[in-house]
Amino acid sequence: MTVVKLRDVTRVHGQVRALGGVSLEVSAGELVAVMGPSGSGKSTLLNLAGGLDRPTSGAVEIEGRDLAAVRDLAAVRRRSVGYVFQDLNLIPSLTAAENVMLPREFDGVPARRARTEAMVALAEVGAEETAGRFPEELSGGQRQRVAIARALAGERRLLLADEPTGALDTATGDEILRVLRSRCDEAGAAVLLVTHEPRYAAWADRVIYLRDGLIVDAADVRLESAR
Amino acid sequence: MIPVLVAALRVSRRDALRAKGRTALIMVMIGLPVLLITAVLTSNATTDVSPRERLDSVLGSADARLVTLPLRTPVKQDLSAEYVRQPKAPRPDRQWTPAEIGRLIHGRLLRYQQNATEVRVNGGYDRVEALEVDLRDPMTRGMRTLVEGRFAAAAGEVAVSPALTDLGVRVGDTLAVTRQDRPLRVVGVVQNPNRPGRAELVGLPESVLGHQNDGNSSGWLADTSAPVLRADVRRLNQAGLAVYSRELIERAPRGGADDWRGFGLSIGPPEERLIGLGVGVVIVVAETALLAGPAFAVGLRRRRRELAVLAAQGVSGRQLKAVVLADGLVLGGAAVLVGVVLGVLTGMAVQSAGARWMDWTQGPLDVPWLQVLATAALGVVSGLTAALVPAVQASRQSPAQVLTGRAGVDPPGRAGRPVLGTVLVVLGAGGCFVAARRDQLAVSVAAVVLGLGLIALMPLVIRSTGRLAGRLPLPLRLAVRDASRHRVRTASAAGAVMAATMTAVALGLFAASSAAQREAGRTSLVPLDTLTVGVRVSQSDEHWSRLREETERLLPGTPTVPGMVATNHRGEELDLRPARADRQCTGGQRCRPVWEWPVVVGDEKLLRSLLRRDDQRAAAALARGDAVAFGPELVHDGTIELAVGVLGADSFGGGQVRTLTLPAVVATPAEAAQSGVLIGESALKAAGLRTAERRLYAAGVTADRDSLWRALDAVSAGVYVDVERRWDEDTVPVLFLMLGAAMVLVLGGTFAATGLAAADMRQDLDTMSAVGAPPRVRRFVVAAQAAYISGLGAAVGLAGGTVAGAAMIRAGRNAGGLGWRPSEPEIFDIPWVFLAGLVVGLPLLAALMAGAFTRTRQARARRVG
Repeated sequence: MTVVKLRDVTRVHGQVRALGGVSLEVSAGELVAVMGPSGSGKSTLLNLAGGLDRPTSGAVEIEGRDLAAVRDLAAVRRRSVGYVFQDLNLIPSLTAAENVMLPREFDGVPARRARTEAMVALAEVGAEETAGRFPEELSGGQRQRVAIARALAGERRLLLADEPTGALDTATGDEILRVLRSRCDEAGAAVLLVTHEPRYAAWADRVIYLRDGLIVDAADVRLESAR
Repeated sequence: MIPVLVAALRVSRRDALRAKGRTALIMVMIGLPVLLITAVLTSNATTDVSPRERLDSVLGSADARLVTLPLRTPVKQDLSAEYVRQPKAPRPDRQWTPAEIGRLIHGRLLRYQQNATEVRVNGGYDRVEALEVDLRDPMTRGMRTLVEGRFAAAAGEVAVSPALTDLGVRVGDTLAVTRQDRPLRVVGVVQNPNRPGRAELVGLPESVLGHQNDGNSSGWLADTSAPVLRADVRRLNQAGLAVYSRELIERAPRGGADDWRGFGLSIGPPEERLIGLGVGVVIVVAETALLAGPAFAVGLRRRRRELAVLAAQGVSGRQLKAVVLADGLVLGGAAVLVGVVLGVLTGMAVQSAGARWMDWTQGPLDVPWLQVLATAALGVVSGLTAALVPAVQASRQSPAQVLTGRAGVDPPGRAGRPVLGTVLVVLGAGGCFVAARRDQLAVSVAAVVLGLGLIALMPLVIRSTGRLAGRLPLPLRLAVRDASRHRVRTASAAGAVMAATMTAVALGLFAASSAAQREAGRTSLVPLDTLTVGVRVSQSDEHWSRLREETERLLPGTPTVPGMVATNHRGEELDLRPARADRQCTGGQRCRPVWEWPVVVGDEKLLRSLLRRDDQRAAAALARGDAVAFGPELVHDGTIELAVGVLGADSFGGGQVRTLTLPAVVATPAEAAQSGVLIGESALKAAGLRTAERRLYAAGVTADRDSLWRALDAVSAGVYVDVERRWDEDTVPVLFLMLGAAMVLVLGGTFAATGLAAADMRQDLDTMSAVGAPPRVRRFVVAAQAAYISGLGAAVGLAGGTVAGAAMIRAGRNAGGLGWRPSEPEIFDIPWVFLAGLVVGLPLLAALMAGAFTRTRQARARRVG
């Protein structure tokens, strides 16, 4: 089942073409890695795929819904999409559990239920012991696990990760990729992962290469050897 | 909606606890006005003592106070027997007796008397209250608290209040009471629970005052078997007694309208009060929100990425707005809570000090909760208003741009609301012009509109000045560019400075002009700094000699000049005044009524003293027996007509006035404000009148009038003492007070914004230091930030304040206030020093202080990882 689908998507910022006609599908349980040099359009692709930005042309569908027809993109993100960034993912003044429950609360879910869901999500990523701690008290890896839990709390099945291992050491980065992989395999999540590192791309089912806003290559086979 | 609100409030609360510096800053900005207003309200309400709260100090434990009156006609009185009316009738030749009172009301009676008297303390006589009642009687329990010693138990004994012990009176001393210096021994110290600061003596009946002949406040306290009801009061009123009944006062409903007194709402018609209140609310909320605004703007900038991450997780623009507004609610609410608590405590402390040291009345602690809650609501509204612009910005930010680092500090597009600002400025300025023909309330409404317009235009002004920064030296260029980039933060702080400056300029212009107008209307016989001492002719020659000696002793080295008063053959003092005023005075000439032309009797020495020079022609005329007039208005065909009547005999209304026509010359006085007529002793003698020396003049006196009066009054009661001073002198403290208030707001607003800017710029400044900039450049940059914010606000405020001030002056004149007379020219006085201090001095001070307190040490670079 296709979770996100991009059809001939372009994005132009003023005179700069960030993406120039990209088509891509990610299915449930699939982890797709996006690689490419700086300025190749990786983050733009992620922003468009999650409805953070609208394309200049082309179409984006999430779980079958064309985002062009959706007025409240924030609601789509709350219910269907989760983002994980390289750093500053979490609100420092909230505990890990409160961070995870936040999108659910903003979706109108009462605090008690949101907390229960948050605890389930934290347990799924192996971070239930962090629930009552503040981000400052967590290691980098723990913070990213919490961010992943937040991205997948509730019914959300599309996780867009922008260099989630960028600020981590190799072992911790591997841990995070293991978590992402298990979310795909066990929970059926669809993950679009932007990374510079072939080591982490090796965890993906498929790798696509971007350059100057275009997909220049795609590999369907896992790069097991690069791990 | 509720889960969203709960989450937003949680984020705000936790964020407030993390960013303690910013939280403290915002709480001070919002909480301080709430604290001050609450303190004033609490202090006012506690000072305002109701008849119910006064019951104990007036009645003790008695049921009623029966007030005897000199007449015995039926009495009409208010509930607390403060206002009493009686039809006139011949005064009875007997006084009330306890037996007579006992026939009117059943119960035990206790005699009391109350009046003012004088006590000799520290070489002078001080006026004090005297209460005569036997405080040992249980019926007086609660009237006065015994602080030290015991209550008076015999006729020669008295207890004093703490205000007298402050003057050095001690238990065991003998006090000289009344002008007869009657000795009374001090046996104790007692305090009035409602007037702890009042100077008071308490003794047994007739031990201090003598019998009051049923007048002043005298009568009986009554301990009755049943409460004194309305019917009893009517019956006693009918017999000629006023009654203060515990029962009736305890049962009286509380005045609902009184609850609004603290806001000054009891003055003027209701719609004017409402408009006045509205103007006050807008000014307080706007100023508070502007002062707190920069901290919210900086808070938003620091949280941008955090908010963008929230947006990425699906938080909508409206919800982001709610998150930022929740900051305003949380910080405003916390500030209000702290402000109210500290305000009540401050109000209590101020009230206690005021009651003890400044003789304020004092009731039980009274917090007017309705008004305090309204103030608290204003504080919360101020917090929300301050968070509004950052909240709107947060809702409009593009998460994708923020997350990819492409978002500008403040969006470069539109600068504030220039169209709205222009419309408001035009409306406000035009409104001031129109309102100047109406009244000051209309002007204040128009001035608020003008001020709001200028605030709305501030971002545009900042952007415009930012474009000119290229030609400035490096520190100033950096500061202006940075301020221009962070438009919201800068506009808010400059707006706060602008509003404070505008208010101070408008009020300063108005105060200076009205004082100048008052000074222009001042008339005086004597030049400035001249002391006049005088007594009635009824005082003996010996008294007068002692006064002269004492005056000369008090002013060593200052020559004195004697003056005379006219008397008739019976020795009665005569009042001389011009018989008619010239009605023809027009144009630039001042038109003074006759009572502003004092007529004095004296010789050549007095003439020289009044003119402060020799005038041979006037001296010759005086010696001839002619009059010398200090102005041409009263002299007609070389003569002047004076009306002569017995002083205080109301003779000017009757027929006992005689007219005295004297040849007269006009002499130009030393000062334009001088007016009057000087006549010689010989002229009066020629008219069959006599003279007596009862005046003394001394030029160049710098001593304080009140201290001179106190010293001379101790020699002779009823002495008249005056030192001629300018009438605009008291404007200086008013202007200083306004400058001080403006300084607090200007420096507060500037430092808050500058501190936040300096923290924001730390990285830039470190980079500058890294490329070789000396430490002083950091100081210059921060000082330039402060100068830019306060200077810009002050300059715009000066423009707005000038328009509003001019309109206020014109409106004040139209309303006929400030002592303006239609014949006098309109005066627009510009207090240059005050304005320079406000518009140049304060920004300079802000810059100097900001520069002086800047940390110049570069932050040590940290290696990451």
